[in-house]
Amino acid sequence: MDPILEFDRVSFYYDTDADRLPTVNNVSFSLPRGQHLAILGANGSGKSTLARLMNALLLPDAGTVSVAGMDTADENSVYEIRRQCGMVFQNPDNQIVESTVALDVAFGPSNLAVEAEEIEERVEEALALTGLTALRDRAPHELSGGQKQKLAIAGVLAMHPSCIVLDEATSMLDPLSRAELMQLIIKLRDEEGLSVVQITHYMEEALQADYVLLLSEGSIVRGGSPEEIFSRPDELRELKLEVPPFIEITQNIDRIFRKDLAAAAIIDVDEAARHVNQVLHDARAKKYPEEILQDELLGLETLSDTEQGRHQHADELVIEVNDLSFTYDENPLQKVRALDKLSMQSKRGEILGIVGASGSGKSTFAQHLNGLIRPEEKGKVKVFSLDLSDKKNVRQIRRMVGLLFQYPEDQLFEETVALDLAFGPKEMKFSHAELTENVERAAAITAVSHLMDRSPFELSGGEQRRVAIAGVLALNPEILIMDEPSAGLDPQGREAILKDLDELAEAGKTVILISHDMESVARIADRLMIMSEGRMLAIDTPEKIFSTEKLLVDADLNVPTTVKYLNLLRKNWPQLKTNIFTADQGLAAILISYLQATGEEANG
Amino acid sequence: MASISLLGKTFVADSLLHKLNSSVKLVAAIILMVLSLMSQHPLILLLMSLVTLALIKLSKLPFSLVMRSIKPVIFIIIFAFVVHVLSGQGEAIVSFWIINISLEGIVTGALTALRITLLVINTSLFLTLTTPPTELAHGVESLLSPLRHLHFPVHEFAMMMSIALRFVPTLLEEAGKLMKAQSSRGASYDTGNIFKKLRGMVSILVPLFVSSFRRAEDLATAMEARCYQGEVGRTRRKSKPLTWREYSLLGFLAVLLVVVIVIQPRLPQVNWFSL
Repeated sequence: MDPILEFDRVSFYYDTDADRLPTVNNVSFSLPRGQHLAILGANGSGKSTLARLMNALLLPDAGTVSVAGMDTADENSVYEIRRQCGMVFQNPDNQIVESTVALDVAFGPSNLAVEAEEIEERVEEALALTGLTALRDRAPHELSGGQKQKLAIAGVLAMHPSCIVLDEATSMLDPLSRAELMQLIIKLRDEEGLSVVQITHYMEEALQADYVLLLSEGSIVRGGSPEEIFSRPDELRELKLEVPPFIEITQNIDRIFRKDLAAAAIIDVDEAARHVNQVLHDARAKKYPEEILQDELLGLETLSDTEQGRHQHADELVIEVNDLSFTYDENPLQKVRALDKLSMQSKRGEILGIVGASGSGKSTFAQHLNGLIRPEEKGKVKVFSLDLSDKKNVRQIRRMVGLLFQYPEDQLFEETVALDLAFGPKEMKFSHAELTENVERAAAITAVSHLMDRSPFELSGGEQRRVAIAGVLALNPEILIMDEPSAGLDPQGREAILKDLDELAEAGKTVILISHDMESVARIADRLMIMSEGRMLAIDTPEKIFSTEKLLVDADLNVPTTVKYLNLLRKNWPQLKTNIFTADQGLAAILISYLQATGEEANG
Repeated sequence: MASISLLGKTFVADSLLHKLNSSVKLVAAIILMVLSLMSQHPLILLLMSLVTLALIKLSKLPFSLVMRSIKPVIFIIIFAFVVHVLSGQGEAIVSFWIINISLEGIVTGALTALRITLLVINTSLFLTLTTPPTELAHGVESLLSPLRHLHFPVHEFAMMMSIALRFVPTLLEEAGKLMKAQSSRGASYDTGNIFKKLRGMVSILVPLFVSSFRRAEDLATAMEARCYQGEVGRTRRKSKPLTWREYSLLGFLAVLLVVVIVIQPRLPQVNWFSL
C-alpha cells in the first residue's frame, strides 16, 4: 500500500533571496499508514513550515510532497488532501470557528458538502471518540485549553481523515491536559488506525512515537527509533534539544559499571529503574572498585554544588497572608470559590514556587499580592508590612511587587524595546536619571541590552519574554511574581529565563513563580507551595514535597519523570535524594547512595 | 470590564426562547424594538413591561442576569431621564437659577427611561442572551438570502459576523488581562486627565490589535486546513422548522402592533396634573 505521507527531496524558501538558506532544505522521508512519527527541532528549525507542506497549505519550491499518493501541487486534489491529512495547530483559541462545540465539529464536513444527516452522525461519533459529548453545546470560551485542543481533534476526525498532523498542539497546555491529549492520540492511532505526525519540543512525547526525525535549520539531521535517537544525548543538546534526565542517568550508569555504551536507550521509566537497580546490585555483589566511582563523583561534584546551591535568605518577612478567601461571582449562574482561607508567609530573597492544577486559585492568589484584587471577607494581605486592605497602600505596593502574567510578551506595545522598558518607570513618575539607571539595569539582568533599538515585535519568542520581564524589573521591584515563566519556550529559551530568575534571587529579591508544571519551577525554587481547589495543601522544600508522590497526585499535578524514576530506585536505595532535575545531579545522587549503602555494609 | 462582560455571551437553558428559529427571533427582536419606541401611553408601556417580564420568565434565565444587560447603556438611560427633567416643560415645582423641574418633566423622563430599558432588555433577551452567535449569523443569512440575487455575498457576510461574535468574549478576556498586566507596570486607567487616559488605552489597544491580526491569520489557516472554500459546495445548515411556537409568537407580536398603532392614539390622555 502507498505510504500515507511522502516527502521527496523537498525544499521550501520563504525568502527567495539567494543568500538565505531554505526554510526546509532537501527533506525526504515517508510515513507508512498507521505509524506515528515525531519531528523534533528547536524554535526556528522549520518544523511548522514542514507541517504546512503536509496538507498543501504551502507548496514546495523543489521536490514533491504526496499524501496517499496524491501530489500536493495538483490543484484538483487539494481538498481531498486536506480531508485525508487533518491538522491541529498550536494555539487552542485560534482554530475554533463556530460558537458551539457541536457546530464547530460540523464545520469541516460541511465544507466537504457532506449530507446534513451524515454530518450529525459524524459529529456525534467524533464527540464520543474525544470524550466531548457532554460539552456539545458549550461556547469556545467556556472550555479549558485541553478541551479546546480535543475539539480541534474532533473537528479533524469528523472529516474522516487517515492522518493527523499535530503542530506543537500540546505546547500551550498544562501537563495534565498534555498527558490526556497524548492518551487520546495514542488511542486514535491504535484503535482507529490513524497515522500521526507530531511536531513537538517535548521529548517525552517523542518517546511514544514509532519513529523520530531530528530537524535543524530545515534539514533532517537524523532519523530513527526513539531508542536510537535518545541514546545520543550530546547530539540532541547540540541541536538545542534535551534528553529526559532519567535516560541519560541510566546510560551513564551503564557506562560506569558495565563499560558499554548501548546503541539503544531505555525509554521506559519503570524499565530504566529496574535496569539500574540490577546493575547496582550486580556491582555490589562483585565488589566493584569504589575508587572509580569516587573519580566519577569528583567530575560531577562541582557541578552539582553550584546548581543545587539554594538561595541565602534573611529572616525578614516580605509577604504575610492570613485567612484569605475570594469568590468570583460575575456569573450568577456559577459562582466560583477561588481561594479558601489561605495563609502563608514568604521571606526576602527566596524563590517560592506556587504549583497547582488549572483552576486551583494560583493566579487569583498572585493578583492579591500586588493589589489587582483586594482582600475580601476577613482576609489580610501584608506586603512589607503594608496592609493591602487600605487602598492608599496599593500604588506603593505595585511599585514594590512586579507581576508578570502568562505569556507576558503579549503586553509589549511600544515602538522600541527601550521605550517599552521605560513605560512603567514613566507611569510611576521616576526622575530621568532614575529611569535611565533602572532601565539599563533591567536590560542587563535579562540580557536584552543589545536589543534596545529594535521593535519588540520582530524579536524571537524567548527574547520577547525577556524584554517583558525587563519591563517589570525596570520598576526595580523587591518582589517579582511570574506566571508560567517558561510556557511555550523551547529548552534553550527556558534555561535562559530560569537563569535570570535565579540571579535575581541571588541579588536579594524575592521571586514567586507560579506554574501548573512541577518541573519548570521546582528546579530553582527554595520552597514549593502546593495549591488545590483554592486551598494550600503544603508548603515545604522541594525535597520534602517530592518524597510523597501522593501529595502531587491529590493536587492533580504531574510527578516529574525524573522524580518518579528516583523514587522507584529509592525503594532499594533509601538514602537516595529525589529533589533532582539534571542528569548530572541524578547520577551523583545515585553514586553517593550506592557508596553509602556499600559503606554501611562494610561497617556493619 | 465587568460592565460589558455579558456582551456576546450566550447562556444556555432549556427554554421556549432558546428553542425558537433564529430568523424569527431576529424579526421578533426588530418588532419589539419598534414597539418599545412607539409606546407612549403609560398604559401601553405598562402592557409592554408586562410582556417583557413574561419573556424574561419564559427564557428561564435569572432576572438579575437579564437586568445586567442594561449596564452598558445605563449612562444613556440616566442621560435621557435628566434631559427630560431639565427640559423645563410644564409647571415648575422646584426652580432655582435657570433650572425648572416640573412634574411633567419627571414623568416623561421616567417613561423615556423605561422605553429604552425595555428596548435593550428585549433585544438582548432575543439576540445575545439566548441565541449563540452562529445561530444569529445563520438567522441573518436566511433573512438576507433574497439579496443573493443582487450578488450580495450573503454567506461571507454571515460568516464574518459569526466569527466576530464568537471572538468577542475571547478578546474581552484578553483586554482584561492586558489591563491588569499594564496596571502592574504602573499604568492607571481611572485617574488623570483625558489625554493620560487615552495614552493609557494605547498600551491596551496596540497589543490587542497585534494579537487580533495574529488570531485572524491563524484562524484563516485553520479554516483552509479544514477545507473551507466559501459558500460553493458547502452543506447548508438546516434551519429549525417553524412550529406553533414561532407562529404564536409572531401572531402575538402582530396583535401588539395593532394595539400600539391603532388603539394607542385613541386612549384618553392621562392628565398628570390633576392627580
